[in-house]
Amino acid sequence: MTDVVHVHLPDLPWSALIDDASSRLLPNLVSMIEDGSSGVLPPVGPHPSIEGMLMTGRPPSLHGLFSYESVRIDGLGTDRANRKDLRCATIWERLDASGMASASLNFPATRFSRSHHGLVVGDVFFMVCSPDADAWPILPGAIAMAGGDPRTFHEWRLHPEALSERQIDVFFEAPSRADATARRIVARLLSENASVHCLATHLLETGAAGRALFVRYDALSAWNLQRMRLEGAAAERRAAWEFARMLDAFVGRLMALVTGEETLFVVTGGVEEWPFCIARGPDVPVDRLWPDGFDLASVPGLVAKRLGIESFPTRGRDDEPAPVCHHLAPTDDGWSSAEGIEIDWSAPPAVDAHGIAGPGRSRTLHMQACRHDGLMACAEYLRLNGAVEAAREHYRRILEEAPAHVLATAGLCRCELSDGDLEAARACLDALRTGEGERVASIRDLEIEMLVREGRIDDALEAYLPTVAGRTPTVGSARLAAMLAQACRARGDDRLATNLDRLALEGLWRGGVDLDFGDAPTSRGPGSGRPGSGAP
Amino acid sequence: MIHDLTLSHGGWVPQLFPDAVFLATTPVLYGLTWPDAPSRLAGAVLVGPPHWSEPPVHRLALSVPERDDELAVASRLVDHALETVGAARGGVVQTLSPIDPDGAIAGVLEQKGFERVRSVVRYRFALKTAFRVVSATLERLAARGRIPDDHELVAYGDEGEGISRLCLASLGQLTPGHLRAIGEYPHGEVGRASSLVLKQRGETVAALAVDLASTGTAIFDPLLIADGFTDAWAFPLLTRRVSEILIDRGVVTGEAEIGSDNTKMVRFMAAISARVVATKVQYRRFIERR
Repeated sequence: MTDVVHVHLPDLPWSALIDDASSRLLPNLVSMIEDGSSGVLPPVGPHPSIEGMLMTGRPPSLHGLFSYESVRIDGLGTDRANRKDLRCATIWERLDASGMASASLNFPATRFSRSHHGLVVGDVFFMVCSPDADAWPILPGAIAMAGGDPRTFHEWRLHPEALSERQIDVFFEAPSRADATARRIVARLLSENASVHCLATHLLETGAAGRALFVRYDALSAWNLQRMRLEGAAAERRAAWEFARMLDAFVGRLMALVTGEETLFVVTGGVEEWPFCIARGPDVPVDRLWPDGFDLASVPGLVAKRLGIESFPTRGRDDEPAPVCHHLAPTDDGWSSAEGIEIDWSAPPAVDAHGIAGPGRSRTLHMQACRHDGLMACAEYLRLNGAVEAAREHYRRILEEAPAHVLATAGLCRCELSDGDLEAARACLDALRTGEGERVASIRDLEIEMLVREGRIDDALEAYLPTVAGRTPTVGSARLAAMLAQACRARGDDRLATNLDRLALEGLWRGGVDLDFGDAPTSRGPGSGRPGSGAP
Repeated sequence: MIHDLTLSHGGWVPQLFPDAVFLATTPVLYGLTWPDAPSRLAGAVLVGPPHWSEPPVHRLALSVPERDDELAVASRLVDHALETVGAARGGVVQTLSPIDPDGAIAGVLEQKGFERVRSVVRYRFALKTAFRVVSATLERLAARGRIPDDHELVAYGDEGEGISRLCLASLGQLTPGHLRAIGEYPHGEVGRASSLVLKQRGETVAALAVDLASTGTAIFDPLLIADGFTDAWAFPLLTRRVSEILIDRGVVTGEAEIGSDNTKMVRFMAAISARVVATKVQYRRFIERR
């Protein structure tokens, strides 16, 4: 019997689940909210960070997964992130080490995984990389399984060329007007996610999933559903919402296959700023919000607890030494036995006759950019979590190698602003203005924040208000609105402060970020309707 | 015992298999140890990710030290590589780079059902002879009015992206000489000056990358010719100018690798009295899909 099913739906916004109109399209997920505990969770940063946290129960600074692309193991270029990029053991590896079989499908950074009892099928197995179904091989390292023949697995994949036109047409309001690129994107997402679902349902139906099934559907990764309100007229709106409906149906099917009342069913997802978790099953309170302190790192702990593993480590202090994956592998694992292998010979030099050694200039630059992306994501996570000094170090490491790095300069500027070092912040802003920073929209936000910190509230309002007049507030503008509201209230302008608070709330509603409203109480989740609704 | 060393020892790949730099994504590394020396690597095999073609092509390379057990080690590693490709739905297994047909590894590959698909012969020739022969050819073509006026020779490095497409289309991969000529790797002054692109009416019709080896020999990359361009004047024109530049800079010898199926170039090498200095062979085997 499968005791746990964990479905991850990246990029499905929480607002879609609590909005009256859109939630009608997602009945299975809404029923889960009613039957269990749910709510938005504190943000941790971009998607691989979220997934790393869900896989390991550790914060991004420990699990280390910040980018879907990473430097190749051999250092000769870049590639899709693999198991080595994840520095902690995953929940299914913990189960494996405890002798429990489980199955993991379509999670990133799982290539070259190992499994003694269960099954790990990585994201690279499902990715459509070939224009032809017959030429769609299984990438070595894409499947880790205890026994059996991985060759049979290709039967569970659905190639886009196997889809009929009608199957793709339903994703478009006017199929005849849909351009070829949009159709290709829909076909690819449909085939990849259908492949994942085929294998997931097969494993559940046959009991081959073992004690737990972990499955990730990334059909919404190509669409910004957050901005595609149902009443909007975006060209891709129909496709995006059809995919959301499809994912809801997938969840419904998995729920139907799990007949036992004893199964813990968990759904996670959300956009970067606003991840969410819904769970129902034994020991999960019905129709409740998550208690304070429950975050993404708590999800694998919830799963482990259901499976009787009380010692599963979640969270972890940032200064804790990072565990290395092969240290956590079972002792009879190939990694452990391979660790001591030494080499006492070198390759014949003849193969290097052309003098081509190591990655070339372009690849080196790409690898450097890839490392910077990782450092950047880590720095943003640290900064957002109050570790400003550590974040500053990360930004500086990037700027040492790439002095014109716009995002790192902007991040460093935010660190200086939060520390109140206006001179240093001004230097960063000057660097942004003279360099490519002009292209970054956030430079305006930084300038306004600088005015607020300098106490030039009227100038800040003059710069800020035209940017939001007649527009839908964004997360960034909500932050500034909240900051300006506090400043206005401090100088006794309560009426303006209240209006700014309203702007902040509207941005908060769209983006779902917790703001500091001083003494005003905040709350989140479906029970309270809108997050932050307790604010003035 | 065969170990999957991809995660634990992937950092060895550049040392053991420098040509892995030509692979687009991460290759898989397997190593063999014998029970009596479990910590000593007896040999390693690299299996490249499948190249998306019909059928998919997996690149294979072996690195085995010359010891008494060399053949046994190579044999076990090749078996494992074939098993890996079989598990990946089959396809073609082809050597990453051409190898010495008289070496032990070639013997093992032939024993395992690999076939020779292409020989690459390295020729060495005197640049003055090459210059003289192509000059004579050009004179004949000019006498018949076969050389148009609307062409120009430009520096190779200035045309990088377009030539890369041409190189990929012609040879299936970016060659070492090309990579150096477009500045991906250090390229000496002589190489930079002698690597040229031939354009006609603004369109690239041919390109020739050259690099100067540490021995003072000029290494000629394969000539790249635009798809559909069949005129005979491009090759001698480009070769003459390149040879002229090299001779002016004191270079006397050139080397070029020519595929044995390229009969035109093989005949040209005979015409300039080039001598064979090495032969390497590309091996491949088809693994049936299940």
